[in-house]
Amino acid sequence: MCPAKTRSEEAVVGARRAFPTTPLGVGLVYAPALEPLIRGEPGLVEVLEIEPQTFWRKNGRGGYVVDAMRLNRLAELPGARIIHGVGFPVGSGRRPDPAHLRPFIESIVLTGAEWASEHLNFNRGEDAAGTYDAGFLLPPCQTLEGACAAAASARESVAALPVPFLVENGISYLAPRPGELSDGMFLREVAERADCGIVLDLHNAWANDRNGRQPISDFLRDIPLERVRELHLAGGMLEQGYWLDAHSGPVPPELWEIAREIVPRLRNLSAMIFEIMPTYIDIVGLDVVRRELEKLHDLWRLRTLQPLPLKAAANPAPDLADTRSTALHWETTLAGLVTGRSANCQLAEELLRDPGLGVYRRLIAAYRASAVIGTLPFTGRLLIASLKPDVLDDLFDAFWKEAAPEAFGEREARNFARFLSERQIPAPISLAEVLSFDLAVIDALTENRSARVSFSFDPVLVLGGLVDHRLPHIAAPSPETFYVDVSPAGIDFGASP
Amino acid sequence: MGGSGHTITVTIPRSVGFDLKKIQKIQADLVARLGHAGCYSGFDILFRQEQEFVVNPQSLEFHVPG
Repeated sequence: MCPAKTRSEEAVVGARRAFPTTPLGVGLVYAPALEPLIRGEPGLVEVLEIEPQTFWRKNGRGGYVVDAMRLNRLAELPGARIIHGVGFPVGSGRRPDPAHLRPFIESIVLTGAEWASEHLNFNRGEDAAGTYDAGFLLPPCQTLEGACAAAASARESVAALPVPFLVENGISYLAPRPGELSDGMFLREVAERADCGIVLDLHNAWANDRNGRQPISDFLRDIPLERVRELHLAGGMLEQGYWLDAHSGPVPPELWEIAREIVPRLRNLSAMIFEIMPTYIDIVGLDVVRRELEKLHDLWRLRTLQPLPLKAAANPAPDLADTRSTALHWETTLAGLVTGRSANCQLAEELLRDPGLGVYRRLIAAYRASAVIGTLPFTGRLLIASLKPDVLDDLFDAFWKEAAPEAFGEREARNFARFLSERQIPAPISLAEVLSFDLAVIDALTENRSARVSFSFDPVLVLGGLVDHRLPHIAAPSPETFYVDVSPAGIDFGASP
Repeated sequence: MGGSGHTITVTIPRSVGFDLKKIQKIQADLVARLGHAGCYSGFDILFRQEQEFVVNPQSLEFHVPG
């Protein structure tokens, strides 16, 4: 049976480390580009949210390797740290990969994090070949059965981690479905059944409202506000009629208004986090991020400094086996549809009529294309320079069909490199040579391996041009053989004697 | 990242060719992307940004439209 709702004080503050008695304050999601604000302006960033899996890599044996050196470095930055999981969401009937737990705890310990959180989403599907990554955080099965399954998953994290655990409300681009719990009631059911804290992502709730789901005022009425320990604020963008949780810039003014109304009621609030994707930091600039942090400090002053005890809750719980199968059917169907698999069931037919499904497909394709371009930067720029946009789109489409998404960028890069190497791509200079260079850099960074890459053209001229978005004209291969030595210690350019 | 735990250093023996800061930026972005994807449920704009640079077929040089 699904565990009945109880309020166990020990589970909240007990055998594990408790929530800090002094609130942590205002902060942001760590990104290297934000270090000037973190290091250079005392008091501006009081807490860092770290997404630990971005510092992991997948090894060949199905496990994960933590980049302890980089996480140790984060522990030395000023301010408190909290961990925000991005790879093993708990809104699922399928338990997160148990292999993630050891590196997750290691990340908590290395950074000295005060608590850890994860998303109320799922990100894996299953077909005849086994489970696969869906390439995106997808909305959970939002029924009572789904809430019960998610609570069981969250409760495992509560039990396993050395620090308090929180779940975050997600975004859904799908339309509300008959028989579902409201967004707020789903969050309440999971948090109370798992007896855990809540990361209230106000932008997600607001975006859901804008996209036709539960009005945010109703959402805030439904959730157990006393469980909210952390608040997320972010900006988004409008794309083809949907407001996207894009973390793409400043918080919208309407959302600041809502935040100012709700914060005095979040009496156990301990941290406020501004989220922005690294890609957008370059676009909006650090001054904009600084201004958002200053607004967060203003918002922080609106808190009520009277902690509120957690309320007990009691509902009968349905059978666990039934809840898991219901959730897994939802997840298998939705993950299959967004990754281009076929599905023949009533649920699939209903989802195919939901325009939100197309949103997920477009976002996954954009993310995968960006992952490939970001991890194979010279190859990517050469492809863009060499192929017409529709030809490049077709090439990507063929890759999406051939290979399931990989959440780890290194894996996605190696899969795409393998895919490319099996094809003849017309390019004014050798794509194979540029691809070998990109892969050698990845090997140096991830495997500590050195390699010599040969070029039939001057690599300084061509790679230097691509760095600058410039493709120099190469009339013909040079009689010289050029080489580039790539090693963990550096890259050296030269010509053969 | 992984075994090395740091960005590789670029040493260039020639005076022509590279804008060092730009290649360091590319490498820093690469390091950040080799691990698991970060928290996102929106639109990753990197590919669209790169596509904004269009090649001039005469000179084979990229240029930014507009």
